[in-house]
Amino acid sequence: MQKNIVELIRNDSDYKELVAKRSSFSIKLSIIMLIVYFGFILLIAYFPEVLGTPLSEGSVTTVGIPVGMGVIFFAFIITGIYTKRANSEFDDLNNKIKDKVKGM
Amino acid sequence: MINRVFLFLILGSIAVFASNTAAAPKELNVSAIVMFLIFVSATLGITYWAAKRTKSAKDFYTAGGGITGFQNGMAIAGDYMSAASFLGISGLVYASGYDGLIYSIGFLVGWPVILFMIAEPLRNLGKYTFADVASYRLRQAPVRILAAFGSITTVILYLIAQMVGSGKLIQLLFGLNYEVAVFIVGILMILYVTFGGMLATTWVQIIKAFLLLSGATFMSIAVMAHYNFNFGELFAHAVELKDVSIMAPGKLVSDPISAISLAVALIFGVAGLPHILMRFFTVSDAKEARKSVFYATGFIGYFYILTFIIGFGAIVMVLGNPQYLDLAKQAISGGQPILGGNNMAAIHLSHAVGGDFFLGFISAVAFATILAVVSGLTLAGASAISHDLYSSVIKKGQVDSITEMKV
Repeated sequence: MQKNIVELIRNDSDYKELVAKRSSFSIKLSIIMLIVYFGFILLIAYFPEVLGTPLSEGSVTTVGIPVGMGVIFFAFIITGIYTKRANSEFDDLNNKIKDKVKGM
Repeated sequence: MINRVFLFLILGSIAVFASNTAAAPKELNVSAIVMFLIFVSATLGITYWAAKRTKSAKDFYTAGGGITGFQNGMAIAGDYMSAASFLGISGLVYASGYDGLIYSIGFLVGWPVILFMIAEPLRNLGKYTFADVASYRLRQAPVRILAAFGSITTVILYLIAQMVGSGKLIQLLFGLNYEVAVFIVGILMILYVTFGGMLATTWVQIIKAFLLLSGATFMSIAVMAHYNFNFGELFAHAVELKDVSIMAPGKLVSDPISAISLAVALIFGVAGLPHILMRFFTVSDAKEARKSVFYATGFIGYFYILTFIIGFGAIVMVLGNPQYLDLAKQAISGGQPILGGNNMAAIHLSHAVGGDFFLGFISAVAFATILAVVSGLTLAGASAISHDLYSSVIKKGQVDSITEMKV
């Protein structure tokens, strides 16, 4: 009985859609985040002088300041994007599957 | 009964402070101490309140799962904004400028990745600890032992760092002996955890996070107001006092390999902190768990931007101010060492912008931070020991949750 339900859910088209969408979405976002972060780190590692360039002539504020702040904001925004999509689209799918199982 | 224990403890600590005042080399900061005691008793009060509500093992470990996303986000942020981040990062910015920002970014970036990759599957299993999750798929006993030792090792290493921080803080504030300070911290920690469990830790974290954010915001505004809210002027003055190198990545990450390894360490380090992973279980469902990570990222990001400003504020206001110089150290090694070391930069700055009263506030918050983080950690450690080792391995799962709680 228990096994049957597991089988059923596993073969359900909505379930497949949910799993596929969710894992591809989270992998994509993780990769984007890591690219941004490691881009930043590699910039520090190999071209530290880039981040050390003054923003404008005669100013001491360097390019690194807005870039660093940018990475922080980016992390915040990307979390927001994920949360929004997961809490609406993925959870709807999830509930749909649950209802189906309950209806059986 | 418990009330009396608290009272005794508070009186006892006052007695210890009093007996030490005579020998203290530096005059005591009365308002700081008052703030400090208010804070400690308030948090103990919360703990007491929570203790009455902690009935089952589920309550003890995960606060009954009834915390909302926003609250939990605040609590995660609270866990995150440990003394290491507040005092450490601002001290790092104070000492080497831009490099401090690199660290904080590394701490923060771990977050989204945790959410995307770990939180979801972890949450779905609905267990208490990391070992529960690992052993869900693998063989029970060996995995539990391994995971529990992993958690315990992290907890111990982390605890040591926090104890050092709090010891220093108390030393600075009360002029107490370092050993005595660490001892008091230890007792307080045990009290918090034993009586309160996760619900108390969560609430202490929420309140602390709120106070710390407000305190840090006030400090940053005070610093920025000094410079007409113009970052350029603040940076320019800081560069004048130090040198241009603080505005660019430099000393700390000097070669590519160390930069990359630091980055990897920071990002995976976050994902492995047991007390933070536990927080995914304190909310009612996955929706709230995601929301809490989102809020937490916001708070933490904001907080790190503040610490950056605070670090620079410390450069312009603390550096070169004779009031904060450690004269004894200067005589030996030269330069301009500050009292209590670089990690105390933020504390000195709080005094510079807000006087004794605000110094007391920030110290108390910083100390509560340490206590809260430490109790969160101890809880994670305790759950690793009692839940993973004791009940699942030794007793092979044949134990009811009430005995488990006692362990």
